[in-house]
Amino acid sequence: MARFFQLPNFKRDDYQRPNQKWGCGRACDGKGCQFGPDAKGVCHTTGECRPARVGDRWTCTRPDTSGGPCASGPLPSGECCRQIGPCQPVLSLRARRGRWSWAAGGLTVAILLVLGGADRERWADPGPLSSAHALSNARCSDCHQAPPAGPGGPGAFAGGFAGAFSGGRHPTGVSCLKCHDMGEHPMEPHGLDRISLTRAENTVKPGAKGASHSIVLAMARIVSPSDASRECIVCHTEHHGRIGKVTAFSDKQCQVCHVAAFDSFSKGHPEFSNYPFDRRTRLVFDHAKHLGEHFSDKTVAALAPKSCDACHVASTSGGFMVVRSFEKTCAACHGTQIEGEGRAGDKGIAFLRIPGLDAATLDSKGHGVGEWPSDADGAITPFTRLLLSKDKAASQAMAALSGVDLTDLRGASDERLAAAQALAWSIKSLFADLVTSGQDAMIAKLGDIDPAAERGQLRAMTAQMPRDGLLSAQTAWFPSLFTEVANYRAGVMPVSKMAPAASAASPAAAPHSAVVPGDGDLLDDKSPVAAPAKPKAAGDDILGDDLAADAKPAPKPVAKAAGDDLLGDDATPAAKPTSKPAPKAAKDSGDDLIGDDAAPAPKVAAAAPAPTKKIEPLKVNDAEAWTPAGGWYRSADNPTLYYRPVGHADAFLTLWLSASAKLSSGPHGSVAEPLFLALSDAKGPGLCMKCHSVDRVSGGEKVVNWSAAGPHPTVHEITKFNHEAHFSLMDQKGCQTCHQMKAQSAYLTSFGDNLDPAHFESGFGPVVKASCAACHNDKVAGQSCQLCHSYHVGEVTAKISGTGQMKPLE
Amino acid sequence: MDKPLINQRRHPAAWWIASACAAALLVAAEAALRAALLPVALWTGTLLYALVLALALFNARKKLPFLPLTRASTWLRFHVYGGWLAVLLFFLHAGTAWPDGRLNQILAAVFLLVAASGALGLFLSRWVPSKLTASGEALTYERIPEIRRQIRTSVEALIVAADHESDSSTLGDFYVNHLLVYVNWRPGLFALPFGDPPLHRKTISSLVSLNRYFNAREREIASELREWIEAKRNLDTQLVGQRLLKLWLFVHIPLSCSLIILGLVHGLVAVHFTRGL
Amino acid sequence: MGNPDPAPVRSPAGQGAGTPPAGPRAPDSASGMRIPRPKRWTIPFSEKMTDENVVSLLANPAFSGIDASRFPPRLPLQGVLKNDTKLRTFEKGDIIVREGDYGNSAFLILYGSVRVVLNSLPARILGRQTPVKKTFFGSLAQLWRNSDVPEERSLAADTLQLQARMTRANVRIGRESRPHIFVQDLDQALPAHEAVILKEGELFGEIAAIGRTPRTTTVLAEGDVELLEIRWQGLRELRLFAPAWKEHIDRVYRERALFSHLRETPVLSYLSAEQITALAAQTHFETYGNFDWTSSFQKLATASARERVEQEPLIAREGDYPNGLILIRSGNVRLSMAYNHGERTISYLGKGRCFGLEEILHNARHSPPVPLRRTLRAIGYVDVLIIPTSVFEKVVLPTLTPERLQALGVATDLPGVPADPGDDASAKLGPDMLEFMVENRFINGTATMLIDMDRCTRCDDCVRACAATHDGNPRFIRQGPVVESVMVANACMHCVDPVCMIGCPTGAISRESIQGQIVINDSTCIGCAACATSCPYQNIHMVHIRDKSGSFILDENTHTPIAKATKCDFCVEQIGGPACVNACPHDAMVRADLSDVDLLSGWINR
Repeated sequence: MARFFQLPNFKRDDYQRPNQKWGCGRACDGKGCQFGPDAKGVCHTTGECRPARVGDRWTCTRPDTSGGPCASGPLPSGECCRQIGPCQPVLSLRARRGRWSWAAGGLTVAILLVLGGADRERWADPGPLSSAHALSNARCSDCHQAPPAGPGGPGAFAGGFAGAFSGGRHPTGVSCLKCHDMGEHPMEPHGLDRISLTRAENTVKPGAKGASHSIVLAMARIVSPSDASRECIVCHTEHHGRIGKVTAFSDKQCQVCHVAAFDSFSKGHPEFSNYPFDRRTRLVFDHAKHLGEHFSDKTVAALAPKSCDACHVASTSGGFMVVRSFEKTCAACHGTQIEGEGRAGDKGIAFLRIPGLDAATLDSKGHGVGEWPSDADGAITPFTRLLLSKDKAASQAMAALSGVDLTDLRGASDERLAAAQALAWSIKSLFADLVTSGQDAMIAKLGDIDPAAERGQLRAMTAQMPRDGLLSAQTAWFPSLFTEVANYRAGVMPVSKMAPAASAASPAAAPHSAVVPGDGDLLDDKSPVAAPAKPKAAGDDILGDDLAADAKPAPKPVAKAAGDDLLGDDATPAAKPTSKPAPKAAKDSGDDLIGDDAAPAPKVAAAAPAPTKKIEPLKVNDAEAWTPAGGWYRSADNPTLYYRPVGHADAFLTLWLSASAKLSSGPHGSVAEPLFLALSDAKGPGLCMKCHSVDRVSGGEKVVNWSAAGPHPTVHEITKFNHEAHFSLMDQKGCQTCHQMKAQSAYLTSFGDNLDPAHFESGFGPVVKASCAACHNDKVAGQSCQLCHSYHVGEVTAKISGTGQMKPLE
Repeated sequence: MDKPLINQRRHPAAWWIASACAAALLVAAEAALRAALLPVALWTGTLLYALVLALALFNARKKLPFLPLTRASTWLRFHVYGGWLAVLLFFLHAGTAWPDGRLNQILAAVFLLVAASGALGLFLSRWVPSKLTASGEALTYERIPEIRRQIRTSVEALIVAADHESDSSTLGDFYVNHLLVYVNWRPGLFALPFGDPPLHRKTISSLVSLNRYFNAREREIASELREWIEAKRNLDTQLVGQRLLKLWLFVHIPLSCSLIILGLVHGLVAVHFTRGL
Repeated sequence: MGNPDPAPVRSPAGQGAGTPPAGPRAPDSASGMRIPRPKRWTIPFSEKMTDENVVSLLANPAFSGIDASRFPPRLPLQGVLKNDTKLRTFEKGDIIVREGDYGNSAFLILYGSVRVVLNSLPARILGRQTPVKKTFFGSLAQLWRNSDVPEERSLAADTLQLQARMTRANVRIGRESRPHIFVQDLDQALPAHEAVILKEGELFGEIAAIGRTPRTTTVLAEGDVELLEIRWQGLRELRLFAPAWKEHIDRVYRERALFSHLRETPVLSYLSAEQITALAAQTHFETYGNFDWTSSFQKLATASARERVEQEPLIAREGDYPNGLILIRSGNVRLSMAYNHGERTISYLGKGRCFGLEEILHNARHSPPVPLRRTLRAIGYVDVLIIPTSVFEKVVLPTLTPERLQALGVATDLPGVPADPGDDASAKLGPDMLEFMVENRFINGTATMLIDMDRCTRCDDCVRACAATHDGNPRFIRQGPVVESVMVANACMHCVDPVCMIGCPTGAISRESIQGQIVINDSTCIGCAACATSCPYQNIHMVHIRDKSGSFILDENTHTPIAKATKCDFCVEQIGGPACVNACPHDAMVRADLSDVDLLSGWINR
């Protein structure tokens, strides 16, 4: 049986006062005095009572509870007779706790002030940056703007806080964009402008099957602000350690903005409408037709590819199955076609042609055009028209002469004649420029027409046009072109006369023709005879050209005759020599001149005396046949300069096609369009358009797709797919596991006259979502949005800084 | 006069349900804000700090007992359930990973300590009282030293009496060798308020074992001594239990002060450097 | 301790004034303490009454007509006058009886005349304070206005002055060397037309004395008056044995009180006014127990439970024939059943409850008739009304249809004897708790402070709250007897029967309203400690008041510190209600009205 102390003597005990801060130091001995310490914790007790002075004596004031007034009473001094020294009051437990609290608070503040000092940023730093940004660990201001001016030292923290809500040092896009080039709309969703955004959103309609039932998502969509532009750091959170994921982005975060919210890829993601084809192929290649028809042809069966990777290979990113080079793929069958093999008509492209012109009528009617090759025939080439497009007179003339047959102007009105004359002179002038200044002239003219064009491109467009080729052409077509054009430009019109016809009969011409052999000598050393004959030209004699030019008049009749003969039968030159040796010689020499071979002439002349012995002279190949590898040549049967493509990806053709395509929508459309049509003719030389599609891009401009689709190093597609990663998953159907080839498709109808790439028929069916979802679900390969979609689309690059200061290292 | 103040525990279920709903709402809202790319850290942080302040107000209310501020018991319930919510909010705000920043580490440590001490306190204040009551004694903490002394003096008086009345030193020796030690003994700071301390059992057993040497008078005194030994045991139980009930607050409250200051600083720094984004 | 079960139920029974201060509790032993059984007249009402006084009184017309032979030998008329009366003299203006006071005696005017004030007097004159609730800011101000010095009074200077005035001006030590409160220039303070004058030979205050109800009016001495104060015991004897007195008292009582009492009784609620009046005419009323039971209770504190039970006056015995329906009008009664060698308490009944109804109903409907199944004992002082069975059956029974009985919650058919009726408190509280509460008279409390020690963390928030709401001074001690982990703390219980209020010379202690809080007006308290001594629960503490410096305020004459009675005032002035309960964070504390068993059991079994 224990004893209990729970019941004090309530009669005697005073209240217990746990509310008081200080307690009597003697309470623990059960001897607590009646006074107790004061609020400050000081004990004033000296005795059992504090005697009261009454008159001149002291009386005891001990209360009854402590026994009442004592017998002996206070000491004379006024002190209590029962002395008890003051105690050492004790602090109550609760008061002690209060002190601890104050101490803790004070300590905290102190620590903060210390930390708020020199390296306060190190303490405020919430953690290391991801390895990509690790260098900025020590340089907060890389991302956090300079702090608002505040007091230095420990006070700076407070100063900083003051600015916390006003300015603050939060990183803005500015900081990020110092290094990351995120395109024109970095803060907009996907880095796209609003127009493209709305379009993108509308592709997915709400309420679709499998729409999301997530409450969280519903709430998020309510609170999500309408203004969708965001600071970078909203998504890209940092300071989560070296391996912290800076680009983490949850599916729900995607779903909040998108019109139709769905649960996951496998549940609710819309079927692919025609993924991966968002446009027709750039190269026209009908897989079905090739695999179905062409390759079944015995003759080519051997060449047929055995598998898709014969033509396609995964890009390094794996995002594309790029088409292998032409040589590795199409060339086997189509290479020679491009060079023009087995092609009827010119294998070259008529670049410059002296059009047929009724020069006689013009002369007779006083609209002299000077020399004009009588064998000129055919129309002005589109090239010529384009080159003339800067020549006002020519343009007007051509406008006036539309629908007029230039070879017969007898019934033509004066204006037309004048126009014809002007046109003729423009052509001669253009030709003169090309002959005299050559490639430079062409570059200049093209430059005028398309100021945007790069010089390199222009140079390439000349396809290294040869100087001598043009000179010979000039000799053949306009022997006195330079004088005439010079006079024409000086305003002196030539006397109207059919020069060639007259010379044929004139005696003056005889000695000329007589001295034909001598002419050959003249080429070597200047003859005084010739000098008086053409005193004007003598000044220029230093140049061999001029000699040749002087020499020209002599052989003219022969040349003419020869030219005529040639019209008749080029195939049988053998018949001629006996009947007309001289002419033949002349012709030969004429030919030689074109061939730039003066040497044979004397020999032939020398050989002339012995006609009886029949020796087959050497024969120059026909010009077209002469240039199978492509390049410039002059047709023998009419005054035309041809260019023959050198094979696939011929620079001349591709450039002129691109240029004309581009120009056809510009001010020169009227002249560029015909040129483009001419060049892009499916049957035309090069057959480019057989495979290369033409798109009309925004602004009506036409663009020729020279290459198949391929990855762009700096462009992020909104959808990403790694082919290589999936090869191992394909079944025996191979690529057709996902890309199913349509047996019968209107694939080809996507091309031809249709220039809109977005309007097309694919040769393959779209990839079926189910085939992806088979693996891409939560259980197997995951299905987060970011697995297949990238957030930032378009040009996203990292800026290279410091190139400005590049200089050789010492 | 006002109807009798029966202070029932009003609908604890309601509190459970309410806080469960609140917790669910918090989790959902946090996820929603995060999905909506809104400054979720700012929201949760501000809410958490506000909640911590609200919880701290419990102490302020204790200083204003004269105002009609609803029952303290209601406040305590709010303090307890709100405390759990605060822990939840903390993890929503700071995540489950240990923070990297030094300031954040200190703050997290302080918060978790406060929460842990609070949980401990909750457990103690539900568990210890019944132990104290079971001991059969009911004392105010302030009276314990006084009574300890009283026990000592009474025991000494008995021993002296024994010495005089029965000329034997048995009890005297017992006092010197065992009783004195036990009477002066104080239980350790973290002793638990149940079971007999070994020293107590030892003292009792040694007293019992002396029984064979006692004469009648000594036996009487011995039985009285026994009562005092029991009383001392009860006293120690009271001391231990009540001390436990007060000790945990020495961690909980001072750290709360630090928490409030650190929390403010953290908030300002965060807003200052990130605008809460 | 009379508690059979081994679990130590700690109660003041084994403790209290008798034992050395804070000393170990006396061991419980079968032997227990033995004390002489207190007898009637051991303590006379006044030591000063001499036989001469008695003789002269017998000559007084009020007593001369009494046939002394009617008095039993053990209670002779002379004895009554000698032991139960007291001669009082007052001077003009003295307050004899104060409105709202609890009186235990009636007054017979021997000489002079008194003035009965019709309209209640202002509290100031009565030396009362009417507590006004603090304003919000008034409450808040306690945060900084509370004193650091315990029991400091200097804060309210006016209080000190008033206190001084009370002690000097309005308090004078009468010839009986008892302090009297008096009203200066009486006629001006209350004009004659607002009062009734009572002359020699008239009796007043008898209703309050018998009914133990607060005085309804204030009575002042018109001039020098001599009164015979008859304490209630004496009044009881006179009423029993002197027909004239009985006739007079009963008439007055029936006129003024009885009707309304019957009216308030639920069982009679279906009777018409006439029937009630008829019933009132035939209703007996009796008083049991000791009016100032506290002294005997305190003496009995150390006696065994059984002894104490036996001390309680018997009202009705188990097994007797129910000769009437007993209505409890005031005080508490113990319901018990014989249990082996003791009486097991079944429940206790308070004001307004009735006893024996079931038996009477049963007997009226079935036969054989059953006797009472319970014993009814008065706890402290009890005042009962008895409606004779015949009258009940004739007047009341017809009105009690089964439905109405059900509505009243009365079992229509009697459960088997000795089965417990539904309101068996021991079933709800457990026998220990019940015995404990009854034994220690805690059932007297309307706001008993109970603490669930299994929830209490001993944080003392309640005490601090109490101090904060009382100028830095706690008004209760968080200690007390514990039973079944429920502690009855040392705080004023605001008793149904506030014995503390009896004998306050200045009326400083008063009840705010019927069933209201009992408060002490600090300014009029003269520190006589009458209340503190008469409180059976030692819940009133005398404190020595101090000034700002913390040194005691001394009596200018005796130079001893001035004491004041202090206790829980249930925060009457606080807008927040009782601070202690509100401050408990663990729902461990309650201020319970123990007269309602269900409330208590509701809390205990919460």
